[in-house]
Amino acid sequence: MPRYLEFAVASNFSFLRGASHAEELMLQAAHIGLDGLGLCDRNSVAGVVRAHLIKREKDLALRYHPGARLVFADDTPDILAYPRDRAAWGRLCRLLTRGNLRAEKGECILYLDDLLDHIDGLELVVMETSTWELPSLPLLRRPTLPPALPQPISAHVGPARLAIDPSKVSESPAVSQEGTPRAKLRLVENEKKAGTKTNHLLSLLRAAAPDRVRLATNMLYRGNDRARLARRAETARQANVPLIAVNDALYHHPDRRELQDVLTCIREHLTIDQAGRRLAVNAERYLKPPAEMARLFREAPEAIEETLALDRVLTFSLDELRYEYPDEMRAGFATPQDALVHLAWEGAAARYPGGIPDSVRQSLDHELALIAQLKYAPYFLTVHHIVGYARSQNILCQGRGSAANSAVCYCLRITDVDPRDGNLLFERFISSDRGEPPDIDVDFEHERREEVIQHIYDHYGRDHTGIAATVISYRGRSAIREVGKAFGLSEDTIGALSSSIWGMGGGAVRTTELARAGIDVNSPRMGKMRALAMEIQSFPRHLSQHVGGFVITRSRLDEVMPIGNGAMKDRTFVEWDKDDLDALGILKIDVLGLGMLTCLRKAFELTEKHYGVAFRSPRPEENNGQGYFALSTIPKEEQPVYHMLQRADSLGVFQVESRAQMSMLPRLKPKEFYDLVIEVAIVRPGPIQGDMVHPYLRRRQGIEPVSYPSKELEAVLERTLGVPLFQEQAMKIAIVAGGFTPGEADQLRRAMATFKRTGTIGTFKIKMIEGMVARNYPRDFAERCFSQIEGFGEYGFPESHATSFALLVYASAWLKCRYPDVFAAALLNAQPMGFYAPAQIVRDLREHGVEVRPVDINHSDWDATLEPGSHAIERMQALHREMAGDIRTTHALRLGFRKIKGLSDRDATLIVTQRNVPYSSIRDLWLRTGLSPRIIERLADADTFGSLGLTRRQALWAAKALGRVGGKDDDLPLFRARAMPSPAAVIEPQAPAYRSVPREPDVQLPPMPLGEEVVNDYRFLELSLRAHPASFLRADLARHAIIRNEELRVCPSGTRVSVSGLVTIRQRPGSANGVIFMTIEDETAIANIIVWPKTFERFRPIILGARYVAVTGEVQQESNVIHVVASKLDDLTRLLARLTEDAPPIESLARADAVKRPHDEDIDSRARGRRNPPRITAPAELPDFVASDLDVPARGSAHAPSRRGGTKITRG
Amino acid sequence: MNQSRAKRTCSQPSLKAALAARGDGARRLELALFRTDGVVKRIAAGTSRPVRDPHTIRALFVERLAALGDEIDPGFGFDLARLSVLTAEPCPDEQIGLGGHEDRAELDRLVDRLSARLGRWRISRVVAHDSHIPELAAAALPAQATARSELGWEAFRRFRIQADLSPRPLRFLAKPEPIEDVFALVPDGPPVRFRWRRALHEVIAVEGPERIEGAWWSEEGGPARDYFRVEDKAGLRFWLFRAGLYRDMARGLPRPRWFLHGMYA
Repeated sequence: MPRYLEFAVASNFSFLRGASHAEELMLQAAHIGLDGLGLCDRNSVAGVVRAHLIKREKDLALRYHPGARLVFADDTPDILAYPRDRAAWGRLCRLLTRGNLRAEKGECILYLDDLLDHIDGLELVVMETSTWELPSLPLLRRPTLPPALPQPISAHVGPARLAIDPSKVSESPAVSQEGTPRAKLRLVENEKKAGTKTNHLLSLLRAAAPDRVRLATNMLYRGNDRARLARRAETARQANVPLIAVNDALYHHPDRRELQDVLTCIREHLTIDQAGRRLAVNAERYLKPPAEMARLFREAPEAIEETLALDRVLTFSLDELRYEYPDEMRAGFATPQDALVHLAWEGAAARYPGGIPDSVRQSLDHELALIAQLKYAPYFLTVHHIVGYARSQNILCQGRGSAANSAVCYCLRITDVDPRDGNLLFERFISSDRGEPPDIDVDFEHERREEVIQHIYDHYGRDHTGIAATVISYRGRSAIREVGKAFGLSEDTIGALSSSIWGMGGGAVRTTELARAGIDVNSPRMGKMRALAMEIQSFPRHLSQHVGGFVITRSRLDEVMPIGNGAMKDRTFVEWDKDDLDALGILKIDVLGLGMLTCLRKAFELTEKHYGVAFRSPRPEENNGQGYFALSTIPKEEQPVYHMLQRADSLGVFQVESRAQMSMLPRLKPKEFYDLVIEVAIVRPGPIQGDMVHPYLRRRQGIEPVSYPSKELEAVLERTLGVPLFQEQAMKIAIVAGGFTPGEADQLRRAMATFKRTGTIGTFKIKMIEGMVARNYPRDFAERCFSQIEGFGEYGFPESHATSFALLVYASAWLKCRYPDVFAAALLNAQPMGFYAPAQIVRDLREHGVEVRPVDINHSDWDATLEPGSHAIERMQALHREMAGDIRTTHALRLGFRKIKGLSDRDATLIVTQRNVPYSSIRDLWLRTGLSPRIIERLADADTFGSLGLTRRQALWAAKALGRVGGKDDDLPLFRARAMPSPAAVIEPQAPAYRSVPREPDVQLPPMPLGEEVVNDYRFLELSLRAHPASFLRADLARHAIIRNEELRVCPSGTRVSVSGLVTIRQRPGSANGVIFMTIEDETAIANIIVWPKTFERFRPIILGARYVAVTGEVQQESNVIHVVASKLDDLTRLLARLTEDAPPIESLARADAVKRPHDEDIDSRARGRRNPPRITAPAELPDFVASDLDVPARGSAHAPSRRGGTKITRG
Repeated sequence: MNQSRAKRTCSQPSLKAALAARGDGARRLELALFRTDGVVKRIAAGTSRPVRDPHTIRALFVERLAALGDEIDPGFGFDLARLSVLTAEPCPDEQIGLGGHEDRAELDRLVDRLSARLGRWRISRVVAHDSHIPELAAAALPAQATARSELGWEAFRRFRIQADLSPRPLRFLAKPEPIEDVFALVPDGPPVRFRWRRALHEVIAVEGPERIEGAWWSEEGGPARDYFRVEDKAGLRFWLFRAGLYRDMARGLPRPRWFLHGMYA
């Protein structure tokens, strides 16, 4: 039985070359009986941990060696480098780091000299040729190393020590003469030279690394393999190095050749028909079984033997990468543990001024003992230090995730979840048998997170700190786009195709979507395309940096893993992602940004300023005698807050503001804090997929008795009425009822995230369900539990995490209930965040009886501000009247300049700083601020001159007269004489032809129709305080028997109605089987629309494209939640066009929908757009958030950044 | 007689002037001969590169008329001959080389005259195509159409040398011919003997296999092939291949078959 190890294996982390996942390679290697596998990606070790992990998880018997394929920029043949031991691994990482830092993000430029500098302990395999390709320009950034690195690495870009004839290198493009006999001769000579070159290289390497150099040879069916083998053997003999057999594998199975060809096309930007010889000639670069390799190399069995010899000298395992915590010695303490114990007890005393409760005392003792045993103290001190820094800068922060299970974290003020409140499981956070480092995620204010990040770099040093990677993978649209391009689809077709795919899409490319884009789905070619687009899903495309996962080490970080340049200046990131780091026990601290924290801090500042209510911690010494802002100072358990939430009056409130949450609130009727914890956790894919929501609600409403599947599960499920809702509970069920060990349960949870690739989930499923059935649990309960775990795999909320979030829910709800003015101002000032656009926030605020005042040149700041005013119950909507007594608002909200499109922060500051006395005229404003007339026109467009008694039209009239001719001196006769007609005069018919006439007679401008004012409000401010556009259409709507949205409340369930409104939100939660939720808004209220997939298919363009729709359907009412189930939709966008005579209002009203659209459009073009003929936009690509999942708002929004964008998804 | 008339027509300077004024040259011309009885004969000729020199143009039609011979039945004579340019292309004025670099133009003129005489498709050039599959790697295109384009052979040669591939025969059989009685080792051994056109060949030397997969994205892709260069006892050298791999039989593909695709000189 022959034995063989494959050492030249590339995974798909050799981007656009390798065509198999590292896991697939490992499993296949084990399956075909390879003795072992060495994984070496191109200048990268990004995939090695995944292979390591699958070996560990599956308990694979084969040997595994992590390494890298060094691809040099200097014509040196590729060299595979495998570290013998830990020290050599460090050198390999430093070698790659050097190449990375020399290049742009994602590139690595290495020279042979770099290898020679780091050659100790590396086992080398010299390949036949160089596969270096000039990467895309611009590339050769001269090495600029962060100054913080000690021992600056020699910036060596010059020619390598290897004596390559430079004339030969430069000669290679001179191909035009190669057809002549003379050129042929030269090629033969070059070939000889290549032989001598290899000899030279080998002797050079052998001198530097005696006995550690091997010459690779392959048998890839190239026609003269045997001759080549003989030549290589001869070269090896001459150089006195062993010959080693490799198959240079790019995929695990020959079937992957097609995908590999497509990857080549993507890499070369060619279609499959153009790619020609750039494609692989055959499918031989797969993992071949030892017997096959032995057969192929039957004439050189020693080359096969040599793989075993190489295997014997490689002892390094990734398990040796013991994590070393940064030095966290504290003055006055002998050990970090002593310091931690002291800080924890000190903190406990402060947390419980009335004495530390016994339960907390016990928890602390228990936790500190476990921390001491596992030596995690430095980690806690690190987090404590970072949080302490944020506090010192008065940056709000809060721990989340499983850290909230810890009393120590509470006492260190990392989290705010009181351990007294619940039986939190510290074991979920740290357990001695899991052998996994604790995971503390801390949220900071999203606007100030950068300060924290830079502090971490400064404090721990750049050579010890890096950001974890995030693997960006092909999914949904990107997959079909790239594969479609390779198949020669036109840009149009690809555009149509990718816009019809909802977001992530879960990987399936449906034939209906292809057919809709005009593709013949029955043609074999398109069938192939579809299959490959699905196969490429979850292939990594490139590495990016994680939002905030920091790796901090005591020793040099670049000896643990390679570091590369980030896209952002001053950011460096490592090659491994969160899961890789977890798997190796390398500790990571998540420094995340959360918009709600920014909002809360701004709210605290406003309450302090305007109401004299300070939310500062009772320990003033911590922040210049003032105390820092603290969430814990918000009064707890106030019933009015819960009453408000029960009415689903939650717009803007953290987490529970989504449609799904809003419809859950009236059913769940939260009465106490723990209900909020459940509320946060229940509207998640896990419980929904597990069909746990309705049983819970029925039990809560008393419709169904609370029962437990078994006595042993009662303890697990007691708090949630016998229905598992939290991640821990699902895991516990697997343990208690399914007979899993805790380790297995955790493996199960991890397997969920990766099951698509490795297909390991099936065995777990059988094991768990059969295990539960064997213990006399009903089969359907077992199945539901399992599907819930499946849902948790990607979007699980552990109880502690839900608790942390619930704190923010309560805090934001409290502010909304007591000080709606403050809350709305803070929300507006923290934009973009959350689900709702400013228009909805303002509308909601006014419905709560708070006066909202327009942006004004003499009153506004950049931010929204509060002005004395009064809260008026008569302004409140009937719906909210019952909370009138709970509101403490005594101010009105003044909108800020930030709402005006095209006005910069700097301009606004200028207006404010020059405003020591109010501006008396537009001219006054202009002269005092020196703003350009264009900006002043923009201010006029936004109707900000109300305090001067000027209407929009009048202000615009006056603004346009500014500085048209001679700047500030346009009164001078000289300039008057030279006056030229301005372009504005041409396009504005009523304007006089000559602008510079110094004393213009007063003109009587006709007042702008209200409808036009509203449209202009939307255009320049994204909202209008005057009226809702729908109110102008009411007569039209009434003719079509379209009712007001508020009338829905009195429609009995089952009535067929037509309603209409601006589309504000479209959502398709991944867990809702393709159901689409739309929210539309008219002048009276919002209406919630449900669109079933069938209806969606019929009205797709309207649903995706229309700005104003009419919906006909059946009213559904349950627990005060009203929906209209759409059966017919009409696009009424054209009606909006009638509001103004000359303007197309469509684009600007579209703003109401685009919550997350960056304000990057060209201002001028928009200003001019007014004169353009009406233009109906085609169904555009959906804003990102529509595709996002329940509770997970758009990318870029900061409400729930945690479990998204992380590796759990990218690995899915 | 006809020829002399044609010559005269072509010699009219107006066409040249018109083309020169536009900076164009003719790529395709038509001579229309109007017979007294109303019949119009049209004769077309193409060129490799834009031309406006009357002598060159005349030479073309001389060849065309010679080739057509009696087909041009003058009857009672032609009333009118009209020369039109069907396709024109920019024709920058060329520097006349001092060092005798006129070979290329000479060749073009020859190609044009031969094409005019024998037909466009009769004078062809073999152009390299970017494909691994041998019969797709070259195509014969009209020489006139390819006069100014890159033939691709340099790239082809460079690729084969860099990839260290064995030479292919200069000419292939139009269609690979099946060979019988092949005795070869499974899975990828060369034939030890085979029968082609009823003659049995004993193989004494062999090189290969060079494995070339089919174009999976195309419906005419076909199975993978293993090519061998073999030499038989008589010193004849053949280029054979086996269509299909034994391992692919597991996927339901048909049993591999052997073909002869070409011979080496």
